[in-house]
Amino acid sequence: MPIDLRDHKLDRAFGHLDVDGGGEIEREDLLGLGARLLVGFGESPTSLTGRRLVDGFDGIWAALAAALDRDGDGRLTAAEFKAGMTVAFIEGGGFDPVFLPAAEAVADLCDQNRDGQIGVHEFRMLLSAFGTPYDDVAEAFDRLDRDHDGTLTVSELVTAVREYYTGDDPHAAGNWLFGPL
Amino acid sequence: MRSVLKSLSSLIPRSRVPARTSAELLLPLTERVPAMAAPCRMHPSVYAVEAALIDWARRTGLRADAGAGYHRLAARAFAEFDAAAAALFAQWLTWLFHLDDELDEGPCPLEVFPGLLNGTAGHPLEAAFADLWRVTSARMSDHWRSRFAGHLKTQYDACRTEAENRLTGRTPTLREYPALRRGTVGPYVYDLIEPCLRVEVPAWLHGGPPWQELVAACSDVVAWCNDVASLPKEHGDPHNLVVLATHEYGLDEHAAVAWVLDRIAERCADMHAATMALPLGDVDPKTARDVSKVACALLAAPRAHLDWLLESSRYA
Repeated sequence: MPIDLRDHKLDRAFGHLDVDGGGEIEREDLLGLGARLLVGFGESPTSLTGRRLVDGFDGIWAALAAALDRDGDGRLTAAEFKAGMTVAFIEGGGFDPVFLPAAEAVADLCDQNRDGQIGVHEFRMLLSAFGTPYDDVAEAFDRLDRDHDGTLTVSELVTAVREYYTGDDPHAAGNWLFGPL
Repeated sequence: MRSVLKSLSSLIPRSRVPARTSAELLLPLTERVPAMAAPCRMHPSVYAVEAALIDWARRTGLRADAGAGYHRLAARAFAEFDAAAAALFAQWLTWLFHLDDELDEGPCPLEVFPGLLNGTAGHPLEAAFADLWRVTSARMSDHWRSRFAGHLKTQYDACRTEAENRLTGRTPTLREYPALRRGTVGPYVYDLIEPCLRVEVPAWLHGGPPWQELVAACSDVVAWCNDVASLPKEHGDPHNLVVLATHEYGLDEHAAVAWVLDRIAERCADMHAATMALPLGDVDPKTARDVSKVACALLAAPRAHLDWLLESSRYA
């Protein structure tokens, strides 16, 4: 059932933010994930990529809050988060102008030597920030590495992000972005 | 004529425009150092932060100098967090710069330290400190409090060394200066990030080499940028990295500033390396996120400080 698949993926995405397991998230939780990503890669929020990431994550939270007609300081339950994601980025037109720039900033963060390629080491650094278990990373990487050349391109990673957060195709490689579902 | 020249100057590459203030000598860092390339975000409630600062200053008898803009420095350093975090940091900055002025210009400058360390309140600075300490320390463990007190003592010792140098006419060496400067800047200012964010970095992680190096490199970058910006105010005082480089290497001031910018760029690279070495995988996910917020505040500090140096009346 496609809808169940997407619902399950968004539940997982909520868990990436609700790291204390309290059942609610706030803006600071999303920015905390951003901080964890930046620090994992040694990047400052005041580098060009770091600033794009912070702006991008802030934009995602603002879009979520707007979709739910809330102010930006509120807290969201898992059900509200999923409803907001659906309205803002799946059914609404917010993915390309809002979510995509944040995803591209994260992918650029992973591309440490700016050659457009992301190796398994950088991918592991990315997934450790989201809390993916160490043993699940290699399989996730292999699923996303469609031509099996040992690297992901920045655009492959961004495509996987789109498939994970908005897609309902059970065969999409992007479902494996954060390891097995 | 002035407006015509001003509009023409905007067409010339920045590096060819003579610096109007010493702080502008730091602008090449925004092109050389990736971590200083993008301006800091400004807290959306910066005016509320300013209002809270004015209120606090009035209550404690300190001067809230609007042109100095300590609230704007705090609002950049804590742009992503609640306004209360930025307001508390702005209050500490106001206190810290009053202390700095007292040490530079006060009648008996070092006498303020025993009052701070012993908790008396005979001087407005001591009363303001007691007020801030009550709010700040309540959130933190005994371990953090003793760390802060130790860093206050470090500042006292460093300021005493500086005072003795001035009295005896001794000039510190370039080798001695970084550690001395880390002391005079007030190393506890970097401890304050944690209570402002309501986070405490685990003692083992804070005491480990990567975190210590991150803080030391951040402190050096901020202090040495300050040395460049405050160059016209030194009046021959050798406690300034640019002045020391002119003495020790026989450089003219222009070359000494270039030498200092090279050192600042190196320490920014050290900050990057130290951050990469932080053992975030050894703590639970919640702690890793909290610690990362503190580390991000340190990583953003050089650019937040630079943006402030460029606008503050303190360096005009």
